[in-house]
Amino acid sequence: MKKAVLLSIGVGLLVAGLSVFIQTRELAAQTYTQEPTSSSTTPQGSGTSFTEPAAPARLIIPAIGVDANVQSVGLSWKGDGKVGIPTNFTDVAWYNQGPKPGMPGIAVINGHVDGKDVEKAVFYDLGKLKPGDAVEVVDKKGTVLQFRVVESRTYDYDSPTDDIFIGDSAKTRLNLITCSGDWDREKKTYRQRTVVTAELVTEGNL
Amino acid sequence: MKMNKKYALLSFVTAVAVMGMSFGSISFAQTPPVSCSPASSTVSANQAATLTASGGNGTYTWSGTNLNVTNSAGTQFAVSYPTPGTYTVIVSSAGQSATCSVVVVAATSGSLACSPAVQNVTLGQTASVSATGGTGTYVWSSPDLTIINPNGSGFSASYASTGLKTLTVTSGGVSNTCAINVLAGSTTPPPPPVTPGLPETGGGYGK
Repeated sequence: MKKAVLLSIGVGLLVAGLSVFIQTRELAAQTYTQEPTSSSTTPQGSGTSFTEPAAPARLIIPAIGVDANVQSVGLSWKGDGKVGIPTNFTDVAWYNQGPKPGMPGIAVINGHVDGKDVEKAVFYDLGKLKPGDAVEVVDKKGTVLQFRVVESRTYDYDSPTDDIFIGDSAKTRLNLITCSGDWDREKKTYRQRTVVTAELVTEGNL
Repeated sequence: MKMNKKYALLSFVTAVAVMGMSFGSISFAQTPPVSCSPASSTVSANQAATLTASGGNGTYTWSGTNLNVTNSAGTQFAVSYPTPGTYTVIVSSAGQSATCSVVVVAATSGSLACSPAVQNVTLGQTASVSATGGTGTYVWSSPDLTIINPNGSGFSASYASTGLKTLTVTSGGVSNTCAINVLAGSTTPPPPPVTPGLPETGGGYGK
């Protein structure tokens, strides 16, 4: 009787011991088998390279006879939060707080349409540009970047400007801006702005 | 036969009881030692060194002297140093630690560089890097990306998952790697960027 009880307990202990051995081995194996969290053979995004341009030096638009020096500007010195403008009527101004022309996103260049005493300034005919017209930017290294007009839009002078300055980083665009519309005598400004959008010509969109 | 059933039941009860107690003891299974690899790596100044931790409990903390660590919990860790020297990076897990040594040598003039060597972006943000030096002709590659156009001095990428990603630029048979740490987006959306107002590009001639 005693022997039988001892035998039963012995068998029980043996089974339990075997079970613990198996479980511990599995746990250890799981602990050691850790997948790396970030290296993967499956692409997890997309990327594209671009030739990083220098700052723009000249803007050439054959269709409207523009061949202008490009100034570099930030915000207006007046502190009104508006983008800076060229200091004369023959140059254009690149907004240097955004991308350079030729970089992904939207580069912005503006120019005067006229002056108080100047009938026709550099962007007087900007509104005449049509989709397909060529726009060239020569950067300070002498690299010529070819753009092509894709659209022309008109905004009220005080419109939100998010879609003018911020765009899809998969595209390389250039927005050209000047004044248009009626003259507001009280505010001493034109009521609208013309924005011509050109896209960089690459092998993919020739 | 009656007796045998009784003893079999006793064996079963004993086994179940001991196994029950043993579940508690499983939590005391040994934690594998934490390690950091490669134990030693040599990179140029401002070039990324990528380190990998293993072992421990799977949760890591990376640190180093004078190291500004933004995201320290991953399995992999990227670091760059501006000044030549030998630097030690420590990875800790489950109360244990291991070290990796990063030897930084001066970059030779005109040598291929990828910058910034290490950067953080959040999911959906675009990471941009640029190459300088080398032959002036570059090819970009990455195990993490579908690359549309591999040639150019700059490269922009967006990622669909978090983690440490690498971008390698090759020029004249020499390669250099930039690391991009893609972090989960903030729970609160970032404030919209402030764009400037439209320019005053008219003088009202004759008006």
